[in-house]
Amino acid sequence: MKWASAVLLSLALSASAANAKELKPLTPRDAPGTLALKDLDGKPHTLADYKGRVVLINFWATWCPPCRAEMPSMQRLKQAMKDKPFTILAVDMAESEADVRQFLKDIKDTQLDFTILMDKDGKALKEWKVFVFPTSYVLDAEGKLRYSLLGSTEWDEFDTLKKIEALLPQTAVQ
Amino acid sequence: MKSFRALLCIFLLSSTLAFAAPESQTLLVAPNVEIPVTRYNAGKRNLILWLPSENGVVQTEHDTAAKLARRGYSVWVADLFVARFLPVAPSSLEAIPATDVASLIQTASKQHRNIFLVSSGRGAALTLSGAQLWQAQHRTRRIAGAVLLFPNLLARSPDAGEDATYLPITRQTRLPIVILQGDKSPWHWQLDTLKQQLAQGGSCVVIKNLPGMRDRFYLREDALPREKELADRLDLLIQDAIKNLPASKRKSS
Repeated sequence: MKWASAVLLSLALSASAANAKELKPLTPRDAPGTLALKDLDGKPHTLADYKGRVVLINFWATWCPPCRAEMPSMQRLKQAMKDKPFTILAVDMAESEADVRQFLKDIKDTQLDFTILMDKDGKALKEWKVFVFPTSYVLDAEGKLRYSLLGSTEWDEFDTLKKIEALLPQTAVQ
Repeated sequence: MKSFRALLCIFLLSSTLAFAAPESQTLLVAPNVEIPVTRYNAGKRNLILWLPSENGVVQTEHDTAAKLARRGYSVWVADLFVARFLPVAPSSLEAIPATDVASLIQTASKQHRNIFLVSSGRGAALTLSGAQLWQAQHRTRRIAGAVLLFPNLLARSPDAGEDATYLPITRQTRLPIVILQGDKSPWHWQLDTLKQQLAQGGSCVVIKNLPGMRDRFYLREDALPREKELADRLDLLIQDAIKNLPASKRKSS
């Protein structure tokens, strides 16, 4: 019985890994926008604030099931990178603070504590030309676009983690 | 007494029209290609030709067609997948030739004065391609317009920060169009670009925002209560869209 469970578990895990999408490498280039937005508490942010850090930008919304599904893995990624110059900026598409706070309350198993930016009027979404939810970008420490991902993934999977770690400044790796 | 009889006749006739059962028919559009069409009849004036999305023909579309027939619109719901023995899938939709749609329009045009095309999602591309093909061979303006629900006319999902590439048919279409788009969608924020693309071919486009709706709202298994509610009123939404078609206001009223 234990064998059967183990086989089933490994099949499920391999299927999950097979379904997970991979980061697509980009020719390094400038970000299409400054991402000058306020967070849930009204504090202003801009990409320039994160120079010297690797940044994961994730466009999402509470009504988008795949967006919700990948959030816990983003939190695990943050945890895995906690001592490194790495930041997650989750950009919410034109919802109210109340909607987002309710979503954070609804996720009982995981406490999300990465930064959530409010794109109230869809300006960032237009600038970054987002057509699919979720859409994610990884920027290197120089602020250059290095990876994109259309759709959801498990952010703490080994390959993804390695790709993000490889972007860290050498001083941070040593 | 005469007027009473006349009124009775009108009442009986209208009741028959209102509750007429749909008719199933197959239309031969090419050798060995017969398109099953469910017809909800309500006279010869206005016909809605409902073409499937990548999700195939769904029950909500039949229910809506029946309601629209009660509102005076004949509706043909065409199953283009079955006609070509294709499973319901996005790749199957791509495999359906636009000539099938053009042939349906041709048959419809012989029986009805105004034809309104309705489709959703990726079905919009096939619908516009069929319309363009038919228009290329006919000079009449029998196609009064198209109502497109959350249309997907992208050639592909654009890469990071790149401009979207739309299918060529977007710029080749010349029709009055109403787009029904929910605002719980990234596409909502790109409608200006889509409108510009459609305008390049000479289409007049009206955009109707559907507050609180996600894409595929009436096709979703995980539909929210508000989405189910609007799906129940899809007939009103489409009737309203037809009345707001930029160049067909006089014809359809």
